[in-house]
Amino acid sequence: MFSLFVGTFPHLAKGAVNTLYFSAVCLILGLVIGILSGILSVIPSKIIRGIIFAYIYLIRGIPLLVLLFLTYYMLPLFGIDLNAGIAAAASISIYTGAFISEIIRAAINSLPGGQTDAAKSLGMEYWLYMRKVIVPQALRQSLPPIVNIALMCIKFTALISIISVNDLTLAGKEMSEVTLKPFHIYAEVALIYFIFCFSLSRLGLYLEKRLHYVH
Amino acid sequence: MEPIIKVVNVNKSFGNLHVLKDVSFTVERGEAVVVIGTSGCGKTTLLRCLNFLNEYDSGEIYIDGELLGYKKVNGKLHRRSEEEIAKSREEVGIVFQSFNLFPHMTVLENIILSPTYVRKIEKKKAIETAKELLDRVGLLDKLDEHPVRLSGGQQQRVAIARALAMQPKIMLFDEVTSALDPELVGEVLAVMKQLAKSGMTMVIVTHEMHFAKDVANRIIFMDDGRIVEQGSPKEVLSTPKSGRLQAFLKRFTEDYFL
Repeated sequence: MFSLFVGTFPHLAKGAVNTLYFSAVCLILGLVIGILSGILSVIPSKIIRGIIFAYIYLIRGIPLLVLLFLTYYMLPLFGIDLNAGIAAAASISIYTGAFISEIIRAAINSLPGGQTDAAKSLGMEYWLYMRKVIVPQALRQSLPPIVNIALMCIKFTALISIISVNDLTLAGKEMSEVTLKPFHIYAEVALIYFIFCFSLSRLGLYLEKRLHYVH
Repeated sequence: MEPIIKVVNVNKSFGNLHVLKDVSFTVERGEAVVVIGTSGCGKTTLLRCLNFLNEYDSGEIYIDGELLGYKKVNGKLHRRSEEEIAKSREEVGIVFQSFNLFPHMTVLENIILSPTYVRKIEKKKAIETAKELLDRVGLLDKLDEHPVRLSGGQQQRVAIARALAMQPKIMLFDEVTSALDPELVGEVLAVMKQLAKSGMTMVIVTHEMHFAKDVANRIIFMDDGRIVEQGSPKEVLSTPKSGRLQAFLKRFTEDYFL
């Protein structure tokens, strides 16, 4: 059994590297989209808020797999030819972003109104106190749920194997077909996912401690 | 000289709730005015109107001669731009019941934030001023602490220093000792007393009657959104004219025997 692991490891590792790569890209893009749209979802402008809410409600109402298919099969109809990798990264980022956006919005809204009162009373204008007072606190508060979404994001990437992007899950499928030992192979695949996610959880806990107000 | 605060027939409603009803009064430069009244009588709302945290519906509030929050065009009030409103708030410091320090910043960062970003004072200079103010409120050693590490009384003294760092012309105090443990009330009141002595114009909402008697040049009694009585502490506290004020004060004297 050990030799089975050793024999299949190089191929799985290649897939795992791709999974890591996709996770990182999607997570970073998702964070950027999510944080920006989260902040925009609380600003006074009704038009911008409307656009952001349309995005969030639309995305939250569609399964990721369907969004993935939509992006992959629909865009070429409009003459936009995306390769599978880019279509996958775009879908997952947009999907992750919608959930992060709601976390940020909730965090901003949960801050006591006194924070805004104090900032205003000190002569600060909207964007100054958002930047210096509200968003920094909201981000700190959002960290645990964002780590949660980040873990989901890693696992979302397993879906891209369906549109033939060569990730860890696809590598596992290929290896199980070659070795005819699917249980062993998928156990190995699961272990690798687990290691990724566990490391990220630990990193999240570490950051949470670092960012706590009391050092 | 004209009064530094002039409030004329101010009305304010929250939905159907008419909180301030034709409130008028003035505050002279260097005066300490204490506002008393039962909870829900509108005194906090009145205070928050004085720096436009609550926007009054009608009437006029003049701060140092300038109409607050609105511009008068052909007799109609037009809301000023956010920039102008922010600018006018620089002149009026407020200290809140719940401190409202910024928890993600140290004490020093709390104090220098607005002086450096809003007043555009050089950071070095702002730090110097902050240290002087912290020394004044007796917390120079807490410079690098985060607010959560301080007691309520200490947090409130930092909040006072933070407001003073903007060098306001007027300081508002909104029940600043109500959230404090009884043994911490004294240290905050001492700072306020010292501030009043230094000639700062202050409007203070409080339930501390002894303090009001000590510090106030004038006491305003509010009831149901109106100013019912005002005068020197002696007049208001010792010889109340209206039945409502008598009833209000009676409750306090009874409390002392509990």
